[in-house]
Amino acid sequence: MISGEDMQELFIYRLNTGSCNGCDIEVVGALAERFRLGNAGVKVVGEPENANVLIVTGVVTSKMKEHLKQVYEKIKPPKIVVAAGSCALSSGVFQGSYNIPNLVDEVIPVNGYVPGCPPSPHAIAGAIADIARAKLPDWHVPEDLRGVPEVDDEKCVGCAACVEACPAGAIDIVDESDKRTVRFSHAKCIFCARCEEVCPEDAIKMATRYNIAAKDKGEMMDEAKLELAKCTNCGALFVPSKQLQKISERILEDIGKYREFRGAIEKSMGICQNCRTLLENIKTAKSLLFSLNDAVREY
Amino acid sequence: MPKTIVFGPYRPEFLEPDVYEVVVEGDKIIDVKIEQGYVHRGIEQLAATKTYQQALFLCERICGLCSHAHSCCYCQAVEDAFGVEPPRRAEYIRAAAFELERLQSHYIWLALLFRALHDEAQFAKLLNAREPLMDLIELICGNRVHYSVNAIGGVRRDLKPTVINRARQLLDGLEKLSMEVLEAVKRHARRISGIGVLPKEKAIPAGVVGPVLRASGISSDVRKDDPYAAYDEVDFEVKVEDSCDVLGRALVRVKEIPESVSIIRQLFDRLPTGELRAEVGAPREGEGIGRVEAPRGELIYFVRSNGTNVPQRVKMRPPTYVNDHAVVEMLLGEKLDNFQLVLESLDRCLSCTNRVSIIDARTGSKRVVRMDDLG
Repeated sequence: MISGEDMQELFIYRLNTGSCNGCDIEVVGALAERFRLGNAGVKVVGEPENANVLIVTGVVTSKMKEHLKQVYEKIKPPKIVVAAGSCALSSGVFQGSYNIPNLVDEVIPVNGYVPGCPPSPHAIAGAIADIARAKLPDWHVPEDLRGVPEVDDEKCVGCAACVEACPAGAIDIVDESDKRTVRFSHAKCIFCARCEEVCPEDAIKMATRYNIAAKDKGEMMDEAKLELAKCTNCGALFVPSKQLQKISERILEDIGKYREFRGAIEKSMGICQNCRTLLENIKTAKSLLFSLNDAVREY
Repeated sequence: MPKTIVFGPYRPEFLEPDVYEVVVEGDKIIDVKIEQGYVHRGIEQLAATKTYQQALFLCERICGLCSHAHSCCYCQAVEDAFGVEPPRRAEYIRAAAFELERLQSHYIWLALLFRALHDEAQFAKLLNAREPLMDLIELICGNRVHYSVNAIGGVRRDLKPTVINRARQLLDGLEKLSMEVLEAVKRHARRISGIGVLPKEKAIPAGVVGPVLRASGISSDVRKDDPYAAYDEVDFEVKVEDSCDVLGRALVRVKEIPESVSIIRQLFDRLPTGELRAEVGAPREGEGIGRVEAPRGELIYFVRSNGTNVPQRVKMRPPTYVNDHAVVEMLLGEKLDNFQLVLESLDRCLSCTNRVSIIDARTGSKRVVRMDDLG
């Protein structure tokens, strides 16, 4: 529930504080006949003074910040504010811009968040219906919809290819004690499916559902937890064991004929980057390379 | 005694924030000042901090109505810089997505025009009629607004036969609807003819592009003049009107709808088989330019590479940047009642344009466009 208030009628005012107008079009789209919000007592108004619900779209640019405050002051109680779209939630792909001083919820209180880039009208209509305590029909969702990214714990190896590729910095990696967590923030996500495209393990899928609005921004995420492996030399934790296993498998697949080196390769894989630069290891690695070289020549 | 009326930055009729200071004497407009920068997000600077792949999604999110135009143009500029030729099938899919975008953009523009004409019935009708088109786009691209179809060197998504069949059915309906819309526009002809006039000889120095230029009697269309994607292999007409007013701009856009439908049909009929993406290889030093006909007119991208995986400079010239200033010319001497209609006739897209006024937003100083500045 976005709002705890019992509201008979919803008067909605939309404010664009620096959006690409994608969210604005979809807010207009959510008011199309098919979403039947009119039946739920929802009306759109042209003046903030007549509204009790404010939908904010877009990043907050320096020039719009004061206007956002002014508009919020004019909204009638209970002053329900919905932030719609990645930009309003987290600045999305524009994070780090010099002209975006604050997020919407740093300027005014926000009651509900609708992630999406832009959120589909189904999601926006769903959030509005939630405030109005109305029930909307279930929608048929196309199978190729680019919804929120969801990660498969079983498949993810924690390689961070998605972290590097994400244009919005929505994915991060946290190493805590012996666990690595790959976190997907749905509030920061711009739904481009680039992570799905680059994942070598096919572990990321864009969910095919519309209802992703929530009251708490922190809740909007998905994560994969992985065990970190200990360096066989110094005992320090360095990469997820699953990643080691996968890489070893791939290398061993490729070397095929040189199975006799399997043991040596597996052993060297388990050594962390610090230990690998130790003199002892360099010697071992050198001798391994030399013998590999001889083997190749013989072949 | 002249008085100044300030429109904006937020008004129910404006999809995006902008300020127009209109000076009137009686009910006649004698001066217009435009203040921009309300949706300035510093995109050019951000683009120089992201990799080529990431900047693609940034450029796509410049505008919600011409997102495919931006991403396509960016890809063309990068491909030009790196000497990559996308496969033919990819070019066809790009062009098809381009025309679908033009259709939805023209439909929402027409809906907004009818709202400015207080024709609520047509406004609602067009908004509802646009929904199946948006659903089709969602089916093809996975999202209704930011298609994310383009990739550097080709496209990311293929066109499935089932989707093509569904699209064909929808196109028949859209073609029929465009005839009804044309009739509806003609019913309002008296109200919108002769207002917001931009004569041919003034349209050229004002530098306007797209439907605004075509409505001033000049045939100009990048798709025809400098074909990109698959436009060299389709037949279509560039629609031109010579009434130079709001009616002309409406007619150009309405008449472009059946042309777009016909282009999409031709693209589907001739869709070649083959790869979707060409190998791009490592970045190298160089410069590239992309040029496309966005729904609002000519869009230009310039990319400079210094050989790293991050572009050194991405510069864009969106159509509204040149069109918005011409509104001063159109509004002078016009009745105040016609202000909204004339403004609407430009199909302004401020999220693209405000990106350019970097200096204004940084210093907070006003950018005022006067007649004298326009020469």
